[in-house]
Amino acid sequence: MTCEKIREQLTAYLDGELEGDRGTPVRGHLRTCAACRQVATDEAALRDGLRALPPLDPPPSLWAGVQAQLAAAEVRESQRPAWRRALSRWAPLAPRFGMVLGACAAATVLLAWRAHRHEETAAPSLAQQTPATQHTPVAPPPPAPAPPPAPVVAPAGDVSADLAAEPARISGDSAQAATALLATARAEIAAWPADRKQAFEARLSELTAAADAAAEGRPKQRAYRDLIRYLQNAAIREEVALR
Amino acid sequence: MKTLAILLVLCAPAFADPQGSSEHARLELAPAGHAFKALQIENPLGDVRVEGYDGNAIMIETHKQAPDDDTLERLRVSLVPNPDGTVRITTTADHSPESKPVSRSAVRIDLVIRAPRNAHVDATVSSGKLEVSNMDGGGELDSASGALSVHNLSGELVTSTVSGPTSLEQVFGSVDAAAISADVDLDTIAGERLIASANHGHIAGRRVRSREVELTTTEGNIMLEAEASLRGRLVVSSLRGDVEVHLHRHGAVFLRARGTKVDLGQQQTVHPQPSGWTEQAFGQADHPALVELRSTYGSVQFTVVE
Repeated sequence: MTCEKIREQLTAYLDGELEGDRGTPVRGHLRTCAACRQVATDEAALRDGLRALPPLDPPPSLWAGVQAQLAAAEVRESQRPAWRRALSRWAPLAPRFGMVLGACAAATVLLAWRAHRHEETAAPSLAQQTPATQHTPVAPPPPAPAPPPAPVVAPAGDVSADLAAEPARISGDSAQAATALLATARAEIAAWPADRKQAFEARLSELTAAADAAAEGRPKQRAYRDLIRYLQNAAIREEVALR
Repeated sequence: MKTLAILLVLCAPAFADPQGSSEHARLELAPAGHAFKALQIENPLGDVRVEGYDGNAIMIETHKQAPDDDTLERLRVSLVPNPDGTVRITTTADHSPESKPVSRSAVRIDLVIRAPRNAHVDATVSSGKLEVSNMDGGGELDSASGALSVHNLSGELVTSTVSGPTSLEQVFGSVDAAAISADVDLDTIAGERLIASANHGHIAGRRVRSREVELTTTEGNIMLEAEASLRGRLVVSSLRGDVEVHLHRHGAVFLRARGTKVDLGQQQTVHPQPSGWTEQAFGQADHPALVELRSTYGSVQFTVVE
């Protein structure tokens, strides 16, 4: 996942709304992306601060005022003529009636335009031979395509949900391995000169970004494979002596 | 799809037994016009076995298992032959609002596929076994925790797994095998390149004759019995595992090794370097085979067989 997508999910993640495997990619990303980790830390600190504020109860005078206004509105309503009360019940629907009427008008114009265009484009030579008063019958417009059915979400624990969560789970396992290996690699390269460390970090950033950006499934697995191999080579073969 | 004549021979007796419901089906897909070039298989619900043979058709046997008939109905195997000669076979479990939730461990789809020997195999499984044998078109095989097993395959082979043990035997072509937490076993590998890596796992290789060999582990041991190719290159590295290499030498070999303990046998005079590397030449030539063995925290053992 990209940093942008992860940050979109951070709020839900910190609220504990990403249950089970849905939180795994976020956790995996946070293990490897320092920038997102910082954002998560800041947001968590802000939430902790808000939670620490004392609860603010409204004053009793506020409730008394609200109740008084409701009572006055009920009295006014009872004193209105019946026809005005009936009209006022329909008034909120007026914009919808307007929209429906507008849509009908637009559909009529569209049908007329399509019929006219059909005459012009379908058989122009025929139109030249036929008197203008004779109109070819116009086929009714094709029915609008049915909206796609809403996706059915399998309940947690069902095989379908488990299958859907699997790519993220595999990526999470790979990310976890990469994170552990990164710690090992950093310990192993501690004595490297600064320029080599800088080159290591630069390449690491590239490979991490590639893993984050790769699509779930095989592309992400391949990206993590490259990252893990790079870390292995850095930790174990600090020099490529035979090339 | 229109260019293919599809012959479907389907016999699908579904029956219920005390253990649940199961269904066994067999399909035969015959090409028209051109041969099948590649198989793309995704089965996250069970085992896959692909066997090459000398015919042109693809024969697929499916075996589904579920706790009851309704759940069995949810298990799908889709077969899509494409005009470019690729056949895609995927399995899944449908879901609808009426579906009774069922755990993944309660259902299963196993596939046995006989395919033209020259087809390329691209297959992915989850926790099921993936076995490929007698194929000549190479392959790309992935698993999450399922075992990967290849026997008698020609062409380029790429394997990748998180925690599935990998066994590659009689592979004639370049190999790139990666495992995160699993062992890699190699037997009779011949090709231009052999790259294998395991993070938490051992690597064992026998009868390896690849020209360039690169074996790497972080935690596990590496044991290799190989032949040195002329001008070849063999690099075996581990962070914490022990490295043991037995090399059959047909020409000159230049060796460098480094480890907490380095054992090169007692055949030649050892020349330790200030850097910690031990270097040794076996035979004389302008372009010897290069062998580099290292273990940061483990021992290195090397023997050469003349």
